[in-house]
Formats: sequence, C-alpha cells, structure tokens
Amino acid sequence: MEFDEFYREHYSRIQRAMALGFRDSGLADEITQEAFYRALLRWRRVSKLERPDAWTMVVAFNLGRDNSRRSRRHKSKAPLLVGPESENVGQQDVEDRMLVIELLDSLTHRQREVLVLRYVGQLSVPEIARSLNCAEGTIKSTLHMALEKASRRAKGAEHVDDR
Amino acid sequence: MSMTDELQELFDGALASLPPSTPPPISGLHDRLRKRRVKRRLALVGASVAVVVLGLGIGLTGVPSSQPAGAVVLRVAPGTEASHRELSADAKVMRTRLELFGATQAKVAVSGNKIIVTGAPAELSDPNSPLTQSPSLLVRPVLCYSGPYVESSSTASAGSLPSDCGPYAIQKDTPTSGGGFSTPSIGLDPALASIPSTTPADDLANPDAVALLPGSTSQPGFGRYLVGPTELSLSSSVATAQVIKDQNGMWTIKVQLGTTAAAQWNKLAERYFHLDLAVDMNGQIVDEAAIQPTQNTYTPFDVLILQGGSGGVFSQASANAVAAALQSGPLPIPVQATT
Repeated sequence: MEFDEFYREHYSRIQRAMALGFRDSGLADEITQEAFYRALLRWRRVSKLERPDAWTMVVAFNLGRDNSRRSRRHKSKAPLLVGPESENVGQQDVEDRMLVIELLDSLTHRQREVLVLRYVGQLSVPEIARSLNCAEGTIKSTLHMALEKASRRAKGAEHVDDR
Repeated sequence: MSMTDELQELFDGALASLPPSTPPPISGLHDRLRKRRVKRRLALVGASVAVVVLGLGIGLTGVPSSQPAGAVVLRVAPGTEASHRELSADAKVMRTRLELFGATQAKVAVSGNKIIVTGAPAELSDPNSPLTQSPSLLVRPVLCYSGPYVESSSTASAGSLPSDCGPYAIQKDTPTSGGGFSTPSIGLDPALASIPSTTPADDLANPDAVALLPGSTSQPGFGRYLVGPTELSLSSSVATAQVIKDQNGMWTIKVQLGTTAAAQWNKLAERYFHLDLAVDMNGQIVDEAAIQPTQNTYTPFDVLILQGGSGGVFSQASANAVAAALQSGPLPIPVQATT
C-alpha cells in the first residue's frame, strides 16, 4: 500500500482513538501527525508489517503518554472532548462516549492502550502482543482486568438507576 | 450479549460521537521530510569538525548500572600469545572504554600476560560483555525480506541461501507523474521461511557471503533480512556513539561516523539511492535505511541509529557498553574476563 493511501485511510480513526485515549483533540491532532511522520520516515519497513496502522497507533499512544507526563495533565478534571459535535450524533452515542471516557480514566496507561488497540484499532490479542512487544498472556490478563472494571462500573450504574 | 460485545458497541458509539477528523494535507509531511534532509546536510558541513573534537567528551548518557565489581582479570584466549606491547595497546583501549562507560574510578594495568582492572563495573566481569568485544558493523544491501523461521519437515540448511529473490527482490522506487516517487509493495519471500538464520559465528567468518539475519525485536513484527555480501565495514569508523531512547521507549545507539568513513558511506549510499542498506552488527540487523525514497537527488548523511543487540533489545547498560566499545575502536587483541 502506498503511504498516501495509508494516510488517508487510517488518519481519522487513529486521531479519534487518541482523542478518546487522552481526552484532548488538540493533543490527538499533534501526536497523530507526528506518528504518521515517523511512519513515513520508516515506510519501507512499516509497510511490510501485518498492521502498519497498529504500529502507527502505538507510536501515537507513546507520544501522548510522554506528552501527558511532561504537562502533568489532571485527566479526572479535564473537560470532555473539546470540539464541534458531529451533526448526526445521537444522545446514546454521547452517553457511550462519557462511559468510555470514565472507564478509560480508571485504567492504567497500559490498560488504556490495550483497550483502545482492541476496540478501536480492532486488533486481535496476538497482534496487540506483537505491537507492544509483550506476551499474549499479559494482553489477555490486561483485557480481563479492564473488562472486570467495566462490568463493575456497569453494575454500579444499573444499581444507581434502580434507586 | 457478552461483555466483550457490549464494550465493542460502547466504543463504536463513542467513536461515532466524536467530531469527524479531516487529515491535514499530506504535502506537509513530505515537506517536513525534505527539510529534515537539508538540515542534516547543513549540520554535517558545519559541525563535523566540532563533533570529532568534542566526540570523546560528549560520550554516553546513563551511568553504570551497578557498583564496581572489584578487580577483574582480562586474559587473551587460551592458546593465544600476546606481547606486552599488544596488551598495553589493549589496556589503552580499555581505559577509554571504561571512561566512556562512566566507570571513571576504574584503573587498568598490564601485569605479566594479563590485564587487571580494579574498580571495574560489574558488567566487565561478564565473559560476554560488549566491553570486552569489538562489535563489527558491516553494511550490506538488503536483497529481500523474510518472515520468522518456521521449522518444517523439509527444513533446508542455511547453506542453500539464494542470492536472487526473483519477484520478491527489493526494487527501486519509481517516479510518479506528480513528481514524487512510489515505493513498490513487496511481500515476504515464502521460500526463506524454512531456512534457519545464519549464525553470528558464520556471519562473522563469512562477511562476503549472502546471509539471512534477524532484525531487532525492539520493532516487533519485523522479521528477517536476506542481505548480500558486505559492501563496507564501519567497525573502526565511529566518531561518536550516543545512547538515546527512541519513540517506543527502547534504548538505541546514535552513531556519528568519522570523516573518512562518512565519505565511504555516502559513496555507497548514493549507489544504493532508493534501495535498502542494512547494518549488520555481530549477526543481527541493527539498522536498515531506505536511502531517501522521497527525494529526486541524493543528500549525504552520516548518522546511523542502531536498535537492539544480543537478545534483540538493548538494556541501558548494554547500550552504554556497546556504544563505548564502538567509540573506543576495536581491541587489538581479543580478551575475556576470567575468574
């Protein structure tokens, strides 16, 4: 695949994944652009990977994490994503976004990364393991922990709704 | 619906709620790449002398990972004779290495047929430490790519490596009507999957033979490389070697070539303009450069980034040790720590 085509095809999804992961669309734009630039620098190799989009997403995540450490953002107090809403966004979608953000906030950086790669990047467990250079078992247990947290939150939310 | 499916629906909804993102024009990325090449060229012209003069002072980042190991005795390999002059030459290189490594308290002295290092870092007592090795840096053309080794019932021996990859051979970029270049998409050569990698010993003993070498696992997903005969050896040509972290958080070594080596490297790289060259360090590909695929004309450059090492990933200590060994130059006589 040519780089230009790869860029057009994957930019939006990666940018949105970063926006969701870091709750900052400005930061998401910066780190996505930088990640694609690094992919362009190494395109001959990156294009040979099974999932060059996964490689780019991981690079973007790491850039976002470095940036977060430097600026010491307080994620729990940061406003929801800033930016114009899509015209056709339903109430349910907005509620979903709030729930996802709440869930991601409760996770470690690595757990957040794994979850976003799985549910936004649509990577399989082996693909995530290869992208993050760790064992499949580690990814599975990370996903399991994240799912348990999500399940506890969902039950907590149901309990509140029932009162 | 399972929890996994529910989560997937949740994420799908969350994504759908985000404002659409239009990618900025791609010309911005290409312009940035072009400017990077020009900047590097200007930096080379202006700073090459300063780099050589300051090189030994710039040295390495990081500090030795452990307390001094006390005295370490270095001896030549059994059956090898070494004169006092040769051991003294080794001791001189070892002093430079240890200083670059950050072990400023270490003292190196020749005693009889051995070298004694007092106040040595713990790394030196490892018989396989890069501090007592002379890393080879061989520049080889990349012929084609292979996936990882897969053992099969009809496993071919490493002796049956092809020198021609047929339809899987690396090809030059082709110019496009828009004035840019298009990189041909080439798959992995399936015929190589059942061939084991060339061992480091074979690679070192036969630098002029074709070799099938693993890449660094600091970049997961990259398999193996079929490389052609060595075109250039850079083992004694490093001006400075600086340890830095890359964007994946992995320790890498940024190597600045000396003036003569830089000229030799650029002559070679220009010959391989729009093709791939790889750097083979002791039987592993630690750097692979597609030579300026987006440019119309070649721009000289002289910095290599080495990734991975023994086992595939540099620790900070091993990166520091390799960088010290590269920058100090090879040991005239190989030595090893003995108990």
